[in-house]
Amino acid sequence: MTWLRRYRILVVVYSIGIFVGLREYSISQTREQPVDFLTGEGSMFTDVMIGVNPEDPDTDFLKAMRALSQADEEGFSELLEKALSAEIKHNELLLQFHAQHLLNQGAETEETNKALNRWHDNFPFSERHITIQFATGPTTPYDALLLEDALSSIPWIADSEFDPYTQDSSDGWRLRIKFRRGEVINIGLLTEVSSWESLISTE
Amino acid sequence: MFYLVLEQPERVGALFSAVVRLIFCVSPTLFTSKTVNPKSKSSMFKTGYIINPKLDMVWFLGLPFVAVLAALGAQAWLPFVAVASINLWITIPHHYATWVRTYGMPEDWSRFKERLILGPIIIVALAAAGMVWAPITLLLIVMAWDHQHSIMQQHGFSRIYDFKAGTGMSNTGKFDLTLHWILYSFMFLNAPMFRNLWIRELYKLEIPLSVQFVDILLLSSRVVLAVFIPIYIWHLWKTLRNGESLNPIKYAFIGASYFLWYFAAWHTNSILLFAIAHRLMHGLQYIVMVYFFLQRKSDQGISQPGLWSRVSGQGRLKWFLIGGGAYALVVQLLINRPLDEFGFGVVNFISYQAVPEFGLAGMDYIGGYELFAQTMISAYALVHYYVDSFIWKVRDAKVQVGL
Repeated sequence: MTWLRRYRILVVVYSIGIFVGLREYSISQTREQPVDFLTGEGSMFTDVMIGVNPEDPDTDFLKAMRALSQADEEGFSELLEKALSAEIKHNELLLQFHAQHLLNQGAETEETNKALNRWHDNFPFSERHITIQFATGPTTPYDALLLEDALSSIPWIADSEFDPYTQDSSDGWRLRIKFRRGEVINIGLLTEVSSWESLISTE
Repeated sequence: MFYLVLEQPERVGALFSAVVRLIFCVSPTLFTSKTVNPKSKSSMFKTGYIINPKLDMVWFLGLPFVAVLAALGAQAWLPFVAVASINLWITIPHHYATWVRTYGMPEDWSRFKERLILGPIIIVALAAAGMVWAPITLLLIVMAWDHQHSIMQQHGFSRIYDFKAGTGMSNTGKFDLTLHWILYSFMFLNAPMFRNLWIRELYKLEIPLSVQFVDILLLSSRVVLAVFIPIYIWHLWKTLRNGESLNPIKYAFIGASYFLWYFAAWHTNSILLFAIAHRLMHGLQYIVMVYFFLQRKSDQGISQPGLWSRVSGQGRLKWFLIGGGAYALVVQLLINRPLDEFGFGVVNFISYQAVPEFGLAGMDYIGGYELFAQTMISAYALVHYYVDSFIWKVRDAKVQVGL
């Protein structure tokens, strides 16, 4: 009993850990992906959060994502703006998603830069990336090298990957970039060009 | 007011006494606001301090308010990465304080040797198993234990206040602990910031909750709080009726701690605020506690020297602080995280931009870290070259002695 008294906190922690861990392990064996709260799968969670935390900006973000999954573009934009107007800094997913959404929508460069820098300032060590779409991409290794050099000379790009969405590149190309901390992003350098060749010629 | 708190802490006790007189309708002649001999049982209020009146006002009563102000400032002017910086400047060094107290103090090492060896082995095994088979569970355990640890630290300080003043009854500790658990649990269940957290984690474990269930749970927590507060006040009344005393500083300390937690937790837009305010209070109070504990041991001169005695005691505060900073630096390098995290998102120590003149492309983080590591190796070599240039002069008579 002395032994039990001496190690009782570890016994309690281990017992809880085994109990909850077995539950998690059994779930992980039946699911391929964890629950995605930002899709229809997380709809019940969103309902509960609307009920218990109606004024929380994080709840507005969940509601916005649900509106998007229901193709309610107007509701989505309105709710996303409401969440952002609370000046929250902790929700990286929200900040990154907002910037990516503006890029996808072809929003004004100034507005997109503001969103990107807001995300990047709050999470300078983030490993998440932003995707920019291009219609075509380099077809020879030499062109690919020239493009890589051109991208690496942009101060705010820490890492980049340029590849086709599908193997035959019929769905276009994507440029995935990670940002370098301490640098101000000017995404117009990549979005205000007519094609990927312009990036090389600019260089 | 601040002058009053800092310079004349006994006045704070007097103010508290006045409030309690009103609540319990007890004769004013039974009160004293002056610090008294803990053995004396003539007064209903006795003040006792963890360190001394001035330092307690700064570190235990005033710090929570300063921490909230600092966190509000961080929320307004700093990016979210400030949380990681506070972690490095305060939380990691507060772990170092624990290592000094345990592994660096022969007295405690021999007392707790078995637990100090087995404990880490068992915990590291638990963490490794969790990382492989149940990462969400591991995260939940870390979070839950962190909350329990926070409660126990404030409870521990409350106990010290009673111990130092010689106040309370034999079962006051149990009442205090229950009070802490109920107050903290109430916050954890009711504050929107925490509600989001625990409901989401339960969903991940496929334990969905309905709004009705959550409402009933919240109502239950309010009922428990409403029932317990009168019970606690009854305990205080019984303590006084039994001729024991209360330490008003303890209650001021508990009030200040819960002011920080409740204010920050209900600031729904900002996890940043809670994270910074809580880390400041928890980490700094712990570091202060350990330092003064070691200093008293040092002053008594009866404990066997060790690492602890090299970094604590009169005139050694700088070594204690330097040790904590160095420890944080080593931890950051070991876990391969950027040193920029020390900079609150304002300072960027390293920026590996392209240098087209030399044909160098900009580097990603891994490349940058490799460059940093290579620079350090080169710098060590350069220091070795420099030192050797003057310590090995054969013409030096003092060198000749050793040849």
